[in-house]
Amino acid sequence: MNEEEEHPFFNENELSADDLAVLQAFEAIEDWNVAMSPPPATATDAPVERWRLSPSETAADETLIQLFASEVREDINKMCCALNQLEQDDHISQVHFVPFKRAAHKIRGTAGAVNCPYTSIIAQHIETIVKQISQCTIFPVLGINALKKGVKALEDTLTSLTEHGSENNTPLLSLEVDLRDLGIDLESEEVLTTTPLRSNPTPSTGELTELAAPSQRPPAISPEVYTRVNSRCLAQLVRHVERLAQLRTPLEGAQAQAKSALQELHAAQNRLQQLETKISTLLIANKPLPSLSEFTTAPLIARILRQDQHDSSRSQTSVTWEELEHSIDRDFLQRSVGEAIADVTLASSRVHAAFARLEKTMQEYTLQSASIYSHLHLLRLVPISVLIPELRQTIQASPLAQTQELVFEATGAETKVDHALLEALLAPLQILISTCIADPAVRPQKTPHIWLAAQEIGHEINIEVGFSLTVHGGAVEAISGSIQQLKGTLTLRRNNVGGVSFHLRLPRPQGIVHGLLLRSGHERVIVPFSQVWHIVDGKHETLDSLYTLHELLSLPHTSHKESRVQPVLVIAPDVVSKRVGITVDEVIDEVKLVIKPLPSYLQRPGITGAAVDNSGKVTLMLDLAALISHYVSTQRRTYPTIARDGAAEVDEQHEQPKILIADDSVYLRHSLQQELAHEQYTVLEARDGMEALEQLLEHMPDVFLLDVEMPNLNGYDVLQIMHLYPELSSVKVIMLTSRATEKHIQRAFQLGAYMYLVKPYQLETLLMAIRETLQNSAQ
Amino acid sequence: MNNNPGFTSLPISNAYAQFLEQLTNEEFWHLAKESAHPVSFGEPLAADYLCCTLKHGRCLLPLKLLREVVSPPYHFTPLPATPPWMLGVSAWHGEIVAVIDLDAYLCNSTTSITTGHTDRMNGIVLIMHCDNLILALFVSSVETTTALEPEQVIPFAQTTQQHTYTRTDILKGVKQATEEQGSDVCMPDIPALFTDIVQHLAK
Repeated sequence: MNEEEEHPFFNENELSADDLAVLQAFEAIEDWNVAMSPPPATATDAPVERWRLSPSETAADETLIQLFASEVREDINKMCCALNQLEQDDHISQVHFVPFKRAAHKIRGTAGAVNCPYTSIIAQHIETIVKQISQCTIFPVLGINALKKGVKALEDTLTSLTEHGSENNTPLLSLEVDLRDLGIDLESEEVLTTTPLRSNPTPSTGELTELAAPSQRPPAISPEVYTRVNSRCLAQLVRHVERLAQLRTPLEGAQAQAKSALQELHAAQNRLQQLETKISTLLIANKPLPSLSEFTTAPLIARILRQDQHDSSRSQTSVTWEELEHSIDRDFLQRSVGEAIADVTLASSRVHAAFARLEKTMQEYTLQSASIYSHLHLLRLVPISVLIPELRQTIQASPLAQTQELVFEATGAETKVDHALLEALLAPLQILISTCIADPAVRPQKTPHIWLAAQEIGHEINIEVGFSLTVHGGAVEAISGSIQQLKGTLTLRRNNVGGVSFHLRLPRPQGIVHGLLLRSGHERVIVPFSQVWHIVDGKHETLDSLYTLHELLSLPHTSHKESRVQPVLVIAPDVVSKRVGITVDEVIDEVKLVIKPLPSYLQRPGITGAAVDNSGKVTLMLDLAALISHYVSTQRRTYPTIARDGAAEVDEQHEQPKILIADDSVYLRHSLQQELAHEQYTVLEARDGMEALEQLLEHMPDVFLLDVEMPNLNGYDVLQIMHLYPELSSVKVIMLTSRATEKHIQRAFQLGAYMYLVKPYQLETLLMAIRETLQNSAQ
Repeated sequence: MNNNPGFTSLPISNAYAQFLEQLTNEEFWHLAKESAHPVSFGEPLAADYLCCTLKHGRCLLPLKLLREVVSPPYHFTPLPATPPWMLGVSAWHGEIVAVIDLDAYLCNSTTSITTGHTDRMNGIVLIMHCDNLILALFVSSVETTTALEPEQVIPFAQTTQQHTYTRTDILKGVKQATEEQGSDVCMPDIPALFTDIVQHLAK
């Protein structure tokens, strides 16, 4: 066995004498370890029992522990330095991960020797991460994130060891959960421990070596060198590619012009041939040449003929011998025409060949551009799973988690989204979860479940954050701004376990969109397929609301009247609650276009991006629900006295005005219910914001008395959510709350409240406010 | 040695090449002589401007901020909730840019350009780049370029002539015209103009 085989992972020349001594000790331990049973792959297998040393060994003096701690600390520092290096370097190669492998390898062995199984397992996990990076089974970025968590777990475990004299297994358990969430297969660690290290193949210098036995290596994944990409450079590259793609338009223009020129050339060639036949016939018949007006085709021929005619006219008075000369000229003319035709034919064939080459190049260019763009787009995608550890930490740090066990599950975490979107999404999701479980006093009957379910539908990412318990209000108000910035929408539904689920719809900020190309007036827009349920003619369909795209986009009025039947897009039921339709002038086609975001100062509600089509025109992409919501809220602000706009069709046949009371106080609800019923109002009640929303959508009250402090959705949340439902635009909201500061009042009016009453209130004041509101609505 | 920064080390832009092509022989050689004339390092350098015709007057735009002169046909896509002087958005080298009717903006009025018939629209679009921002300014036509010494520009407050433009906060001055040239030529403060436009659009 040569030296490389002896230490396949290290170049011994790089190791210090201390390192070598530790390695030798480690190998001795490992031999012992292999001879015994291997350490468990996870923390749940009671590792302490298997690795427990004899009583005499456990009594080893603290000096050994301190020495071990010092060494581990040193190794951790090395790994931290390597992590810093990784973050600074643009190019990531396998060499970058060698320090992790060395340090983890060393720690794993020595930790076992001093009866520190948790430290050993964490080190083993770090080795697994490095191995999976080297095998390309995980993304390097994901791997670096996992390594950070591993190093942190090592630090925490070491701290517990030095401070309390024994290891704490919490960092290990937490690490294992995080690693599984990141999609790292910890089971493969068994390979590490059962395969003797020295039997591994010789590594190449500066590269990591796979530790797995050949039979257990993942098939068909060739080792790759990953490169960390500077996001600014990537953005520039994307811009360059887009410009490259846009060159297609002038290229296509040139192609069209070449085609047109080719057709003209063909026509000229045909005319020339006809001319030649005609001239030959005339010359043979010895007739005078026809006038120039008969030949208005090729300039060359016209010129020759003009010259010939000119010569003829001059020679009319000549003597007979000149007729002979004339005859020679005619022969020359005939030959010249023949030569011209041959030249044109040759030129025509050359143009044909060039045009064929141009077409082929165009096809290659288009394919290449599409391929490059597609790959660039893929570079930006990251799985949602990278958010899961952070969200889990948020849950663990919540007040509710301090009092009871919470279960968190994630499905669809492999769904990939643009990294910028994911980064922007983390904070709102954390705020949403932390706000919802901020109340430690909640006492659900069963273990509370929180789940995140991600799904990709067409051009959109749908994320459900569900809670099996009654949540604390205020989450919608806290994150609505962030979601709006992402051009997304946030809706709420009661889930099938009795809790509430927050549904986030987020359009992909860029990428290829498959949608419908629509026309309204002179303008064209794109709507993703996922937003349109079906298309009807508008005459035989019963809809709750009907809008025209023209008014939604505030386009200038055109004098042209559409004569044909205008199609109506019925919006998908998961986008809006009722049957809502939008009239357009024409559904032109299905299209696939590359969408890019508008500059921030050009962003508008309901417009999620724009595409530059083949002709160089900018086509806007719409979010129909957001567009309607914005339109309705604008109309409400512009015409506040109009109670029911023309779009919202509701059942107005009830005799008594309906009033909905949303308040978590049973006493207040009951007392108000009695008083209002006495005043001949139909009274509805809601105990919390979610119930209020359900009542609103089901009964469409005339007046809505809304408290602020409520579970599930607070009053501001309800006002926010109401904007998403155009049919609720006619409901007048009277805030009824004990919050009396100017800030709260302003906020309520900003969100569309009609009046604001502060508790405690005089009943007569409230009744007067309701009467006034109803009167204004009726006008 | 020519020290004029517009003609030495910087590569000539397409827009400037087009201007050179449009010049008469006399204008061209005059410009060439001016360019070749040595300028001492101590003197303030004259800046080159493009003179544009607007509906209600003329204005000078700095050539160093001009990226391209785009000729018809155009297509401006209208964007909802925009100021009345904005024509819409258009694509320039893959970027979506706002197209501003410069005359309407300076008059603070509604554009008279009908965007529905942009293919038949007469006018020139100037792509301007300032502070990492690109805007397209729509003008009636472009004339020749001119070099201005700082002292040739009179602060707007000191001018006596009546001007149609109401956005005087954006105009940094005027170049007084001779009797043959007609009315004065206004000079917008381009950074201020860009900032103001973006603020209006972002509202």
